[in-house]
Amino acid sequence: MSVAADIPQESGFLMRLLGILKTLIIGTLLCLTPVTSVLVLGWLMRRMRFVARRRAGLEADRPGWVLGCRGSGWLARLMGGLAANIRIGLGTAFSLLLATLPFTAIWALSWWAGWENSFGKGYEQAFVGPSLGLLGVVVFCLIMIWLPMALAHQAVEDRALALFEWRMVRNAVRHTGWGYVLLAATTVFFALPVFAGRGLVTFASGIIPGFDTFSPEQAEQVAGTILLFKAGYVFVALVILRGWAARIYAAAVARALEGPNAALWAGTALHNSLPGGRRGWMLTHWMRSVLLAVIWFALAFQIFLGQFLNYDWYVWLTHPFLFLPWAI
Amino acid sequence: MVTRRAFNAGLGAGIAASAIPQIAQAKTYRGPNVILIRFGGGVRRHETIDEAGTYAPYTRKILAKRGVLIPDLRIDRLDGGNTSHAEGTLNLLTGRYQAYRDAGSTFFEDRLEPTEPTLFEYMRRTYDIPSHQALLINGEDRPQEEFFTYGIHGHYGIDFRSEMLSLHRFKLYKFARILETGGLTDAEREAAEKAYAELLAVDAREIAPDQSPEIQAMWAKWREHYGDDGFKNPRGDRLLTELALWSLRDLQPRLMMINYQDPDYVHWGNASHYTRAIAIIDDGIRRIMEAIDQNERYRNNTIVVITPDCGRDANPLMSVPFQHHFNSRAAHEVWALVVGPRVSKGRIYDRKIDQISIAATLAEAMGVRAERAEGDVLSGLFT
Repeated sequence: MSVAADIPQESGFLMRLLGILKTLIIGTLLCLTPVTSVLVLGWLMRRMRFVARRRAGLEADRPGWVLGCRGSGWLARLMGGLAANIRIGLGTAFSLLLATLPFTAIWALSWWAGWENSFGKGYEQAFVGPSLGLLGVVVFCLIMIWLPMALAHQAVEDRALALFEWRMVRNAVRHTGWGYVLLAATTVFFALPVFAGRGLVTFASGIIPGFDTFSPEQAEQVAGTILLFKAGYVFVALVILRGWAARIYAAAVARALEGPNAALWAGTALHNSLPGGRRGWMLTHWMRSVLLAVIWFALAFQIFLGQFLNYDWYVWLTHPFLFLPWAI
Repeated sequence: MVTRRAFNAGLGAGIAASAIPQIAQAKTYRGPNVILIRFGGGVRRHETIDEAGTYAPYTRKILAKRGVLIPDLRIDRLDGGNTSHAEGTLNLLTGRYQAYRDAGSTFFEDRLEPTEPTLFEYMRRTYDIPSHQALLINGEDRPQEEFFTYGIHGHYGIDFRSEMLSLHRFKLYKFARILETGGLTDAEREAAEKAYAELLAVDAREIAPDQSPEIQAMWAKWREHYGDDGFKNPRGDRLLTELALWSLRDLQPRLMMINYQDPDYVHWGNASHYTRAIAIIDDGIRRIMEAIDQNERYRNNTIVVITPDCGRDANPLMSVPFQHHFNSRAAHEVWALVVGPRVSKGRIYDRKIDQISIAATLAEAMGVRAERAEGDVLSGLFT
C-alpha cells in the first residue's frame, strides 16, 4: 500500500486517475469493518482540513493513507499518514460517539424497551416507548443542525473535542447560507442507497431469482457483494459530502471573520482566510434552522424504517453518515 | 331507540333465517369436538418442530407422541397469494386459497372477509349447534380477525356464524353494560359512549350481530373476576389460553379455533420475542390439553389440530433471518400436529401436504360435507 491521494497537482491525468482509483479501493476496503473504518474517519477529517484550508487560500497537505508529508523525518514519512489517520480517527470517533449518544442511546433504548413492554402488554406504560423514540428524533434533529459544522470545525482545528466548542460551532452555523441546507438535503438523499442496501435484502427472495435455493456459500457471496458495493458507495458519498461540508465551513468562517464575532476566530486555523461575504439575516438563519431540522427528520425516518425492515441493534448507534463510515 | 346497526342486525338475521330453511333440518351433533390451534403469528419449522431447535418442547416432544406430526405442510405458491396471517387463517378455515375479499384493508393491516364458507358455517349448517359452541378466540392486537366469524357465501353466512371471544368483544360487552347501568356523570357517559362507538367501528360490516346470552354470561363472570380495567387478566397469548380454558369450562364449544399470534412480534426485530412467544404458546397448549384430559366432555372425544398460519423467512442476509414472512419459500413451509380419537399415535406423516387439506380433513372428521373446500381429506391420519 502506498500513498493514495498524495498526488502532486502537476502529475499527469493518468497518474491522477490511478491515484483516485487507489483511494477508492483502499477507502472501500477499509469501510468494510467498524475497526478499519476508524482509519477512513481519520482520513476524511484530514481531507476536510485540506479542503477547508484550500478554500480559505491557505497552505494544506493532501492526506495520504500511510505515508506522511514529504520533508518530515524518515519514520514520519514512512508511517506518518497511517499514524495521523489512526490518531485523528480515534479522536473523531470519540467526539462523534459523545455527540450522537444523546439520540442513538435514546433510540436504542426506546425501541428495545418499547417493544419489550408491548410484547408484555404493559398497557399501563405503553406511552414510554413511543415518547422516548419521539424525544430521540427531536434530539437528533436539533443536534444535526450543528453536527456537520461541528465536525468540520474539529477537522480544521485538528483538536480533540473541538466538536464541542459550542460558541464557534454555533457562530459557524450562523454564517452558513442556503448551501448548508442543500448539503443536509443531499446527505438525506445520498443516504437512500444506504437505507436501500439494508432494506432491500429483506425482499431478496423476490428480487434475486433462485435465492430461496441458494447454498450458504452462494448466500455469503451475495452478502459479500452487497457489502462491497455499500462500502464503495459510502466512501464515495462521504468524500463528496465531507468535502462539501468543509467548503461550507471555510466560507462560513470567512464571513464570520468580517462579522461582529470576528474576535472569536482569532488564532484559529482559518483566521488568515481570504475575505468572505456578509452573513445572512437572522430571520433567514432561523428559517434555515427549522428547515434543517425538518430535512434531518427524513434521515431519522430512514433509519427507523430500515430497522423495521432489517433489524440490528447496533444500527441505532451508528450510521455511515453520522458516526463510523462503516458500510452497515 | 333502535340504532342502524341493531336494525341491520335484526334485518340481516331475519333475512338469513327465512332464506335458509336448512336450519330447521339440522341434526344433533354426535361427532368429536374439534379444537384448531393456530400456532400463529407465523413460525418456522426450525423453532417449533425441529427437535434440536424447538422452543415448544411440550408440543414437539410430548404431545407429538399422542398423534400424527405432518412436518411438510405447505402453502401453495399461487399468483396473488401471500403468506399473511389473515390469508393463512382463512386457508385453514375455508379449505380454499384466496377465498377472501378485501373488507377495508389499511397499511400494515389486512382486513379480509371470507368469500367461501368457513368450517364453522359448514358445521352449524349441518348440525344443531348454537353459535356460542362454535368459537373463535382472538387476540386484541388483531381486530381485523374479527371478520372471520362468517363469510359472504350465499348459502351460508351470518346465520351459521361463529362467535368471537377477545378483549375487543369483552369491552363491547362491558361498555354496553356500563351505559345500561346508568348513574354516570356526563363526562363518564360521554367517555363510555365514545369508547363503545370506537369499538363498534372496528367492524364496519353492515350486520354485526350481538353476542349470544351464553357469551354475555361468560363475560359477566369474567368481569366479576377480573374487573373492568383490563390490568388484571392475563395478557398477550396467555390471554388466549385463559379464554380457551374458560370456554371449555363454561361454553363447551364443539368447534373452537384459537388464534395465537405473538411470535409475530419479531417483525420489530427482537428475536427473543419470537422464541419467548413460541414457548408461551407451547405452555398454553399444555394447559389446554390438560383441561381436555380432565374434562369428561372432552377427554377421548376431541380432535386437536395445531398448525401455523404461515411460516417465516429464512433470509441469511439478515441478522434476524426470520424477522418477516414476505412470501419466501420458507414462509410457505409449515406443519401440523393432529391429536385425537382414532388418530394414529407417534406417527410422522411423511408426505407433502397442502394447507387447505386441514379444513377438508376436519370437516370429514366432523361428518360435515365441506362442499366448497378444495383440499384433500387426509384419511391416512386416522386408524
